[in-house]
Amino acid sequence: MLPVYKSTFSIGKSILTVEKILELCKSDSAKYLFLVEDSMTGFIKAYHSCKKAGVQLIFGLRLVCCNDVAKEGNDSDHKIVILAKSDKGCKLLNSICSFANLEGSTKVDFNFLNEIWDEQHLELVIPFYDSFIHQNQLYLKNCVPNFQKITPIFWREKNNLPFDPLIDKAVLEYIKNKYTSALVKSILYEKKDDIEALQTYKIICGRKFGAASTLSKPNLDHFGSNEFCFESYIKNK
Amino acid sequence: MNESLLRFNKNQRYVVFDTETEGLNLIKSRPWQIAWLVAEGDKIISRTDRFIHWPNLSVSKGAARVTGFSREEYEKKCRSPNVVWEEFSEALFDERNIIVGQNLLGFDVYMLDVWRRLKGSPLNQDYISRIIDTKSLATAIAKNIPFTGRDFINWQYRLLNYRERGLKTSQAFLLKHYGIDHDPKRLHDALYDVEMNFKIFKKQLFDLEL
Repeated sequence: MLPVYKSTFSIGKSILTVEKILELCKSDSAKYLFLVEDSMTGFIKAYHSCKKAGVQLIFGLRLVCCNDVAKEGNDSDHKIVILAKSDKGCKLLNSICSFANLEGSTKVDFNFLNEIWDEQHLELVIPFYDSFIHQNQLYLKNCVPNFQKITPIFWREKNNLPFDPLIDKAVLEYIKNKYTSALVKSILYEKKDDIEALQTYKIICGRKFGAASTLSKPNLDHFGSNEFCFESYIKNK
Repeated sequence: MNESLLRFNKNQRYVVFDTETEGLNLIKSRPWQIAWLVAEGDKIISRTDRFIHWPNLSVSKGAARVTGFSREEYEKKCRSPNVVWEEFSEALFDERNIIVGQNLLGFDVYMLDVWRRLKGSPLNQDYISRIIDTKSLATAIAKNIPFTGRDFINWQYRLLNYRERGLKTSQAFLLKHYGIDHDPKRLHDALYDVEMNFKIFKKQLFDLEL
């Protein structure tokens, strides 16, 4: 099982700092750190911290992908992860991020990705949650991926959510004889008990006008698992 | 006429359940009351209402107001979580039973999981594939989205996750919509809720081809 970390650089998603993640890697005797962030902001810090700690950084950017960035609406929005396999991959990742923010209204589409794709330096990952499979199966979405020049790898997870088996079944049906998959664990906090800290952080980050969310009414749909943690990874690895 | 439809199956067994909880936190709110009824076709064959004992139960003000929580009644009636679970799980895990309820997939399945974790029991989600969520059905009816015959649970999730301003799917609305005689003050009393929910469900079966 591959541990995949996210840090506080992904605002509202994780309560782990890069320093804490490296501590956890050390206690796991890990030589690699898979770090998937929602922006490039933390890349430099992660790069230098990993170098200092003697850990190989494998950086991934999680992005919103849709059928066509030129069209409005979000009925095909889903998440993809792009991993950089080399220095050139990091530069490409930066270009992809720039395209999303400057031309794609924070999104990319497969027309763009197929155009710039370089399999030698980039790896496309289809995450378990919020992927086109998850969105098509459990939301009224119509995501149509186009893997023309891209060979994606599919990540699978087990976090005791009631719909995990539904997504997993759909992933296995989709990849059958075509693509490969890997079992991963998304790590957003250290211990199961830290879930309340993450909830609090999410509530703060998600503040808006109107009735305030609280810990007894956090308004976090399907936020019903405390398995996205290092403790659970160690127990199940 | 399709005679295999649920509305015509007078032998089909149903378990309709509802929980009342400390709050709406899907990770840590504990269910302090659970009520369920078992029915065969249209006929209710048993009704059960149980209070679950938890140390330091802390029902939020909002939850207490909505559910009419009474500390005195709770202290008097509450039983061990393991004992209540044994009783309820007999109905829940009986494969003959279709599990019915309002927003089960968005809320109550998580409450059962909170309960399971506190008991230290292994994960068992086998019952989920037998769930019919009346909130999902209400969206399907309102938006005219028929079930196409494949992956029934996925279809229900799609409907449950659908958001539209002004779309009314609450139990109170559905009771009014179907003209079901009820006492609004008793809604959110768990046993009353499940009885009303079963009435809604029976009406919904005539609005959908299930």
